[in-house]
Amino acid sequence: MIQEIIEIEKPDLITKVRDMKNAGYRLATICALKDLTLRYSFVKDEKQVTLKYPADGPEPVESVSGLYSYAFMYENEIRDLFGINIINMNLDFNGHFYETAVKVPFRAAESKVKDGE
Amino acid sequence: MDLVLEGEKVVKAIPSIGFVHRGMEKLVEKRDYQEYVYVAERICGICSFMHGMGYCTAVEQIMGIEVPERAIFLRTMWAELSRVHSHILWLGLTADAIGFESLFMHSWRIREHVLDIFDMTTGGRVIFSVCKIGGVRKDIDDEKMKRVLATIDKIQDGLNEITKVFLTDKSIIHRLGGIGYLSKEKAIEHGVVGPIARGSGIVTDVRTSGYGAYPHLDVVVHTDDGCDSMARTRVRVKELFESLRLIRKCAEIMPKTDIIDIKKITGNPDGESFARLEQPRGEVLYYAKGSGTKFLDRMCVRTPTFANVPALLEMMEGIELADVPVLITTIDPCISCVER
Repeated sequence: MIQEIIEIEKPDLITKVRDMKNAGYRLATICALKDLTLRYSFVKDEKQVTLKYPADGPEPVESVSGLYSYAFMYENEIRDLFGINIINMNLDFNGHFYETAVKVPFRAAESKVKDGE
Repeated sequence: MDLVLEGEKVVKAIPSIGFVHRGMEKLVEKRDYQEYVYVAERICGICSFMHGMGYCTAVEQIMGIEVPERAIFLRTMWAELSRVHSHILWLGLTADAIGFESLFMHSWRIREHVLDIFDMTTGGRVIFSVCKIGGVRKDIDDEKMKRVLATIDKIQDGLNEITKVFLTDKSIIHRLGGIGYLSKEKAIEHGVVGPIARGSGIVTDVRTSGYGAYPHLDVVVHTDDGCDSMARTRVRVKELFESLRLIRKCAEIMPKTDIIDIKKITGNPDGESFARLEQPRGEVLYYAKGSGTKFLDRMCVRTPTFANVPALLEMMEGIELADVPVLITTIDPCISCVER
């Protein structure tokens, strides 16, 4: 399997994702990291291309669910677990995709729940 | 799953998950990368082995570790046994959802033989912890291999009997035929994976990408153009027999070496990598990122059920409420995989 990771700039997200769709790639996953970068991973046959996108900063991230309708699953998950603000999703759970005891648990330094909570 | 109904007809379905999210991915910050294999295996109790294998593969790719050839074959063999066990479990659950209890019991009786093989070769029936970074922990000697193959023959005999019922019985065809229609175009649009994609005529199977011992086994990808629940059943039945063939071939051409894993793994993972595997329910994706310490920065797993939920919403619309449990069963959902 051939893996390629490409770093992209903030304004290029939708254009680059559209390019992947036009090239026949399937969106395999979107993964967030603690440093607030996102990995948009696409698969076509034996080739896997990952776009590395910086999601830090105050501006929201545009949803790619207009291009890949099923992206809402990943985007809602990322917002709930990492607190990254993703806008214009085709199915928006408004922060209730996951009901967790700790808010944005994957960014919390310590996510231990106190007894009784 | 939240449903909006008009009389007995489903007009809209909304996924309702996340009540018991376990945060297992977060545990990479507390368990060192070698220990974490045990956690990865506990993501799911059905494809437990393949979760361990996926995680190990991602870390091995980062560290450039070469897995011994015999270990690769053993991993492939246990992976295919997991597929057989999972598909038979699914056949039983489908029979149960339809109300065909005797068929459910026969299916699970045959499944027990697979668990017996796991028990004999690994010491565990559900979670067996034989996968480790750099190889596997246990070997299968010639005597045990003979017993494995004899049990495989027994499983094949049992499957010949029950799959005939699954494919020809009128009540099953009535409950599954035409239910949950998902055209090839819609399947592509929703990014489905595994037997659901193949049941909609899409030729996709990660095993053909060349991981594990599969390049030596000539995997046949079975598809069906029926696009409904019955088509997905036919695909899984064909895959069962294909898996039995792959297990036999694995045993036949497995390199005869005495020691599986003699390498001591040194250093810590530094870099990032994805690993893709074909689990019983479809493609699973493991992402791992390390920065030179014994704890990974991030481990992310995208399970097949998570990828198949959006298509389920599409399939739900317009069906009768009574068909909902059967339809949900036919996508073979794994809630523990979704709530990882």
